[in-house]
Order: sequence, then structure tokens, then C-alpha cells
Amino acid sequence: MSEYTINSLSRRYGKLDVSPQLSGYSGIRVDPGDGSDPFLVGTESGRVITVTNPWMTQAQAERALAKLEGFAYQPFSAVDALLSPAAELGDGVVLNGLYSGLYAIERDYNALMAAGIRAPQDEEIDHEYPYEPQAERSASRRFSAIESELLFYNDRIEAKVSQTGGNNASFGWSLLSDRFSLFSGSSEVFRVDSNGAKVTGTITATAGAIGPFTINANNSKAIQYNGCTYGGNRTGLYLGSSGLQLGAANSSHLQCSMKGDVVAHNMKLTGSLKFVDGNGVERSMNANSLRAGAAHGNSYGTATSSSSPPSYPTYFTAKYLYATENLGAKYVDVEQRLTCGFLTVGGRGAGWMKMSYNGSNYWIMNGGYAS
Amino acid sequence: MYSVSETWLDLVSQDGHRFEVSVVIGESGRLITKAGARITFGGDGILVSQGGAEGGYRGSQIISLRTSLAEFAQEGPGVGACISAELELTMLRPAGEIPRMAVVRPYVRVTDGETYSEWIPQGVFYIDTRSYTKNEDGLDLMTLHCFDAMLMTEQFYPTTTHPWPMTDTAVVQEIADTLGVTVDPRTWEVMNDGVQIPLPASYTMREVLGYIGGMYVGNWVLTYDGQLLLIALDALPAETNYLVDTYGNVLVFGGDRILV
Repeated sequence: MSEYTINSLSRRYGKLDVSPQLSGYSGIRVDPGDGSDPFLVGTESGRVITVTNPWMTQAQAERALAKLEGFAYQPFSAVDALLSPAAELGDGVVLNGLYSGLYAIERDYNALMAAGIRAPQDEEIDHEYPYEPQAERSASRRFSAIESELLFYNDRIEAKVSQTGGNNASFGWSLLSDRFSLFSGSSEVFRVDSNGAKVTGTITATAGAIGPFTINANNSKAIQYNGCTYGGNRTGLYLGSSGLQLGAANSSHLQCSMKGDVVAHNMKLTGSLKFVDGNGVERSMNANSLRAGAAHGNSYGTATSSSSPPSYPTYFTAKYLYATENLGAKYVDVEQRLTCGFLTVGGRGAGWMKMSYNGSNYWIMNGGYAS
Repeated sequence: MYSVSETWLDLVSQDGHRFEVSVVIGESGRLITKAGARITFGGDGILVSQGGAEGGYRGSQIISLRTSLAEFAQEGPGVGACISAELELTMLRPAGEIPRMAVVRPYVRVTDGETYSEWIPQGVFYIDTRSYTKNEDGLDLMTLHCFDAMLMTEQFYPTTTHPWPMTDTAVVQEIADTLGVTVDPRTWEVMNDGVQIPLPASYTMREVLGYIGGMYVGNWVLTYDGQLLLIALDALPAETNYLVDTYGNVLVFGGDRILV
């Protein structure tokens, strides 16, 4: 540091070990120390010194390199050097024609004031044939593939564990003043902030609550709203191992069992309703037509007996009505076409048949007709 | 090179010179005679405030003294380090209690037996550990292991109320003020880029100093006077070959050194 070069040690030391002078510095590698990639200023043609610094800019690194570039470090070690107690770290020193600096001083305050002085050298870095003992190599395999870091910044704390090698992976967290996040690689998979928690990916839980919905409360194996149970009289939602229920069972509700039995108070279909018999024959009903193998009572299906339907529905109302077997009803209103093999009007009791054509009504009744 | 007097230079150039060591422990010294003998009162040494090297423990009481100074944090050249010097002292156990973390200041002077140079300091250290033993003659010994104030930089940067960012020199001065040390003027000659430093919240003073030192490719140490000094890695003086005497002291002619 000082302008002082100590020329006094030319022959005044016990033992001198000198290593070859290192090549001059040609570059500075700046490691921001925050997990981002280091950057290099200068070249790697000579020695490169690493500076860990989160604030160092490219321009600052270039200014630093301008000062350091070409400086060649001269390692040495001398013991029992009769060095003046006034010598400081950073002074230059000449030892038997070798010029270097005082980078380490260990002094015994005895009669001679002998000191060990050094320009230390990391011997490892200049091995021309790098050799790693088996134990170190084994340890490297076990531990070097995993790196972990805990970083403190002005505005956040971060931790990350990285696995390097063939199966790169990393996972970490970041704590800021307004949120906490978990990262898989560079993707945020979990965030907690003042609005709540946000998960990107799969959630697996054995029980809990999301808003008004409980999940597997009391081992119910169900998602429930308002404590609704299957078959229970508490209005709400039940979706679980017994089936689905909306509403209270003793009131207007919708229920679908695990066997497919559906109970509904009212149903509005905007598409079609299909029926499939045991033979796989499919019939359907929609807003404009009703197709059935037979129709009797309040259900639709294949009649087992064409002569004695158990009861009649009140109305069949459709644009088209097709019946391949008996169709019994108290009133049948067909807007356009009625297709059947036989048409019996009145059934077992007195009845009328009304036909409308071109705005006029015609009535056929027992014993006559009217218009 | 620590600045020394002509008397020092004259003495070390003579055959038969010797160095003397004095170690001051604590902020107070003991009253002694001119020859260095302790003046006692009822068997106890008399403490005086701000005792200098003259009042320190001398060679007859000191068994061994060793200091270790370094500029690099690792075995090899590097920058951005804050290196604490160490001192290990073994001496006859003094009377009285030495406070925890008491300051320890070693001094050296040179003499030919008649003429004495000034005392030059060898650092300002603080006791880290102490142990007491007996030697083979049954005398009570005390061994102190000490570090200088650089170890105290391992604290978070102090709370500040002034605006940020600040210049690097202002930050260094604030750290020095916090540590209770002064800054070696040579540091300001190195720090000439006027770098703006953001608020170093959650950083230790050691980290902040290290980062600033790295910007100037240098390392931080404390001088013999206990001043904060940034040593740039490339700041070696240009190699010179001056005419020196037997002891290597540069000979001057009319105030100028003589190049050979």
C-alpha cells in the first residue's frame, strides 16, 4: 500500500520459498451473489479474479480492471525474516532479487523480531495435472450435485436448493414484504399474499374447507355445503360416496344415487331425453316429438300388454307422436301428425275425437259427428 | 511502512541495537518509574488513566507475543475481504482483573541501551479468550487471544435516517464511526470512483466493506494505529533498487534516495 519498498531483506531471512510468478490479470468476473449469472469483464487469456458484489456494474468492473490489468502476483514465503516492525501489509519487498509484496506477516516479538512473511498462493489452482483423491471424488459425487443457498436482500429473503448434473432441478422460496412464494425451477407454484393462497398444480388433501364447502368433514367422504347429507332434510349440497343431492330431501330437491336413480322436483330439458330398452333399442323425447315403444301410465317404455294398460296419463302433447304399440291417454293433442296402426277413440268410456283442419274443428263422437 | 523517526532509523542502522516490547492492556496504565519498574501502593500497582506504551507490561513479564496480519481471506490472492489481525500473548498473570474484551495494544521501540526511539504501535486488539496456567516453576501465566476491531464488523449495518444512496466514502466513514475507529487517509486515495451505494439493509458492515473493497480490487485491514485501511491488490510500489545500508535502510543524499 505504501510507497515503501523494503530492500533490506536481500540476505536476512532463514528460508525462502519462491513459486513462479502468476500470469497477469486479464479479467474480472463479477458475481452478484444473488443467484443471477456472473459476468466477465476483460478476457480469460490471463488470470481472472472473482469479485462478489451485488452492486458492481459493468462500468465499475471495467474501471477496476483498468487498474488491475497486467498485474502479476509473485508468491513467496520466507521464515525468520528480520523485518522491521515498521513494515506494513502492502509494502513492497525485495528478497534476493525477487520483488513482491507483504501480504501476510506473522511476527514473534523476540529479540530478533523475526517474522514469517508471505505472498500466499493457493497451490491447488496451479496444479497442471489436477488430481482428486478417491475419498474426495466420492464426496464430490455425493454432495456437489446438490447446492443450496440462503440469500438476504434489501427487499426479500430467498432460499433455493438446486440439483445439478443429468437431472437438473431446483426448488426454492422467496419471502417479500407482501407475499411468500414457492418456486419449482423458475415457475411459481404456490403463492400466499393478502388475497389468500394460489396454487398452480395439483392439490392433495384429506380434509378441509374451501369457502362454504367442507371436504370430508368428519370422514364424510363428501363435499358438503351447509351440512347437507344424502337423504337428509337439510338444504344445501352433498356430493359424495352416496351420490348427489341438492336441497332437502323433504322438500323440492334433486337427488341422484350412485345407481343412477334420479329424483327431481322439476326438470327442464333443452335437448332430448333418451330411453334404451333391454334390447338396446333407443327411443327419445324432446320438445317436438315423443317416440316410444308404448306409453302408459306416467312412464314410457315397452308395454307388456297391449290390452290392459294400468292407467292413462292425462296428456300426451307433442308435435309428432309415434307409437308402435298401444298408446293410452285421456287427452292426446298432436299438432301435426299422429301415426299409429289402430286408432281407438273413447276407449272403454264415451269419448270424442276432435279433428281440426283449415281453421275448422270437426268432432266425432259416439253415434255421429259435428263440426 | 509505518512512519518512524530519524532516531529509529539511526538506531536500527547500528550494530548492537535491540527492540523492546510493551503491551498495554485496558484503557488505563500503571504508574511506573523511568526505568519501567512498577510503582506500588500497598503492594498494588497504581493505575493511571490513558497509559501509553511507557506504562505497559514489558519484557520481563512477557513470555511470548505473536501477531498475525494478512491481506487475503484465502490461501491466494483475492479481493473484497475484511481481514482481522490476531494477537496471542502469554505473560505472567498480572494482579487485578482485566475487563472482558479489554483492549490490548502492543508497542515496539528500538534502543542501543542509551538512546531510545519512540514507541510505534503494532495494532489495537481486543481480548477474545483468556486462559490461566502455571509454568514449570509454578508461576501463574495468562494467555490472551485477541482480534482487532475488524471482527466487530460482523454486525448489521447500523440504522440510519439520512437519504440513500450514499457515496462509498460516506458509507465507509459511517462504518468507521460505528466501530469507533478512524479511516487511514490512504484509503481515500484508493476510493476515487465516487460509487453510489444503496441502503445496505440486512447486510453486515463486513459485507458492505467487502463489496466496496471489491469494487477497488482491494482488501480491508486495520493498521498498527487501528485505522481502517483499504489496500488495493495492484497497489504495490514500483520496484526500485535503492542504495541501502547493512540493515537495508534506504540511504539518502540531500533528502533523495539513491537509485542503483
